[in-house]
Amino acid sequence: MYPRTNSSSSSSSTIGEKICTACIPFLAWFEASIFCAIYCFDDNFFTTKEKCGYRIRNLARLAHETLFTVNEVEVLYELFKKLSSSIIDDGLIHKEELRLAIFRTPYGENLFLDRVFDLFDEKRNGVIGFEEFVHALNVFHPYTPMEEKIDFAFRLYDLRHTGFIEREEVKQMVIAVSVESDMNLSDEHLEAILDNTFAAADANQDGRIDKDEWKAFVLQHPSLLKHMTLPLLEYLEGEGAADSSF
Amino acid sequence: MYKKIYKGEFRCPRWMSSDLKRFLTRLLDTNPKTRITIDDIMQDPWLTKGGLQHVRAFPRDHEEEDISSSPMELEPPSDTTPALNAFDLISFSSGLDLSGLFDDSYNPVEDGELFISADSPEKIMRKIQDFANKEEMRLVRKKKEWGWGMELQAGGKGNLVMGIQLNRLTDELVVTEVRRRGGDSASYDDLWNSKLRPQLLLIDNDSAASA
Repeated sequence: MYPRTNSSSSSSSTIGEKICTACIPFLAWFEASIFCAIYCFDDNFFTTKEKCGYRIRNLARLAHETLFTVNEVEVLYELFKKLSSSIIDDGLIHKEELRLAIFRTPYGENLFLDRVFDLFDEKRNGVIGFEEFVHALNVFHPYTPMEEKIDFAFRLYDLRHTGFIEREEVKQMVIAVSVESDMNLSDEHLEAILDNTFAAADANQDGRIDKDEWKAFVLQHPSLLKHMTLPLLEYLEGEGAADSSF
Repeated sequence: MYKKIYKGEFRCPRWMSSDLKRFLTRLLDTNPKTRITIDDIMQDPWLTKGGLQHVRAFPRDHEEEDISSSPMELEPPSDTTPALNAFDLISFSSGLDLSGLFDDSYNPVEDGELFISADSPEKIMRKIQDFANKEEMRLVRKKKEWGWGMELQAGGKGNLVMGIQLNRLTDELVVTEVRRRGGDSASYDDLWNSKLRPQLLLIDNDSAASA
């Protein structure tokens, strides 16, 4: 006959041990989710907006779509956070915030800032999201093909989106820049400048510059696009970037 | 990152050529005995490729001429220098200058100015030269393919560098761009707004009066 003690020891675990065994996976899950939450809350911008995994996939995708590396996209993200929270903290860059970043004041009207903002705002919803920010800055990268810069500049100057840069539009822009710089341009001088410009740029003399004429003109005057390249985009580095690859 | 520096661990971006990667590896050798020497640097294939015989310590992409001690040679911009057009003017706008997004200290509105005058470039240059002499600044003239640029350097005043660029705009007009290229805003502001700018604007009034 088997001793009675054998029957209790053959079940191999007590109730307490059974409870512990059952709980371990739950404890593990609980611990993992705490760590995940800490990671997520470390960047409180995303707790209200997106999940962590989504963010990492997005950074990699943006790096793939542009000339930036994942590290550089992260640096741009830090900049984006700073800019997008400067006036309205909603994770989006509003026009006043862009104006503040460029002119150091949110007030005032500037034709060119409006144009830049419109071109950054791919989705045309009145705000600049992070993806739009990175896509637009990519055009300014030193290694971006000239073709893209030429196209961006054309769209910038085509104020009324007609597919042509009209003389009226150029006039408006020259007036805007002369007011900005406190230059006193007489009408006579203004017309002389426009005449000279259109004589050189408007090949078929129809009073407006089309895409092809613009391209040919820029290739003869490359300095026109000097503001379309930001050399520092090649050397983006975060402050205290812990893991930047060389 | 300091651990990586110490161990000499780094990765090169994909766009770097293999010559460059090799060169960087030699430069970042953590063992000072095997690390590349200055003489070897001058001989390195990546630097000497394309026939570069001599690497200058501070390469300039155009020739510089220090003419502060010699009498002013007022050559007007040669006929082959292209004149500026409306789009050049437009591109000077600070609204189109995105560097301010990245550089907190850079303020395009305060640090650069453009003005148009119906004066001859010679007159403007003369005024600038006078100003440079008076303020004891070194005038360094750069011969660029387009335009007529120069820099005024004041070693004493916190390494202030003022970049000046003259360009023809039309037969009558000349556009002058003045920009702070070095030094602090305050000393630049003092020199530009209170001293040089009034002088240059003065020419405008003189010529308008005599026109």
